[in-house]
Amino acid sequence: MFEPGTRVRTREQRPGGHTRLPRYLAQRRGRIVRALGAFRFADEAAQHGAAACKQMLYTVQFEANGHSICADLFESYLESDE
Amino acid sequence: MSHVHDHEQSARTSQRVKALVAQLESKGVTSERQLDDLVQSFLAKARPENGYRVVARAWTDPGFKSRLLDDANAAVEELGVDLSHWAPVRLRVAENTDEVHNLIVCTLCSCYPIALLGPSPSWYKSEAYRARAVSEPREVLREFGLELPQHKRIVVWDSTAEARYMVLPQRPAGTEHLSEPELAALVTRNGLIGTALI
Repeated sequence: MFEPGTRVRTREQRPGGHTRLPRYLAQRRGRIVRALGAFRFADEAAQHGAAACKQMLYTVQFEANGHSICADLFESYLESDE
Repeated sequence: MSHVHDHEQSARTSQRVKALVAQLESKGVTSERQLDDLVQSFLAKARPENGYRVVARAWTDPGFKSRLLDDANAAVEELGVDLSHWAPVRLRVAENTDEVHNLIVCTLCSCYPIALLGPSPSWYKSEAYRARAVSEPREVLREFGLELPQHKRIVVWDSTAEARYMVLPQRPAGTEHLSEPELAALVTRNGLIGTALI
């Protein structure tokens, strides 16, 4: 679980298969804005459908060149950067 | 270039859909009629007027606005917007202020708050918009005719997973005398995506 405000780092994109971690947000530093609740993990659901486990989903904010980007990322994409 | 590419991709997709429908029909799983009815009833409920009403209520009722920003699913259901066909998607509303301008995109595909805005415009699904909205949003907005002051911070919401986003635009000055339906009539689809002001 990550609390809002926690600094996180996104992992590498997994090679092959479905993911909801866009490549441009892989291996970036951001900050947790909000926990959205537990949702079926899309990467697994693409292969196993309803049998896929649920995972916490977070809105994470990233600072880009002159603007911010918020994206909704599953917990296993993230590691603490505190 | 990207238009040609989008065009080819969309032709490929519709060929695949046709092949899939033909298979399902030949096996008696569904019929073209059933599919048409399904799409019709879905689109009948998914109208941009839903979004316009939500904005007009938020402009006139501060209690509703704070509920909308906190739990948009529950708030829009207060207004009779039916999200049942959409569960478990989480609806979220990003408020424009004097300091912040919000912009919605889906870089991975074309996720969009259909229940509140109806079907998305074709440019929203184009590769150019999806790529540039996150890399150079200020320039993209300029091409939409929206020149934001330098001090205004842009926040881009990339709909990567189970949430769908709508922008809550700022209420235009000089509209204090307008009724809620009159305010709703001012709102535009692009205003709710963030590519226009109201």
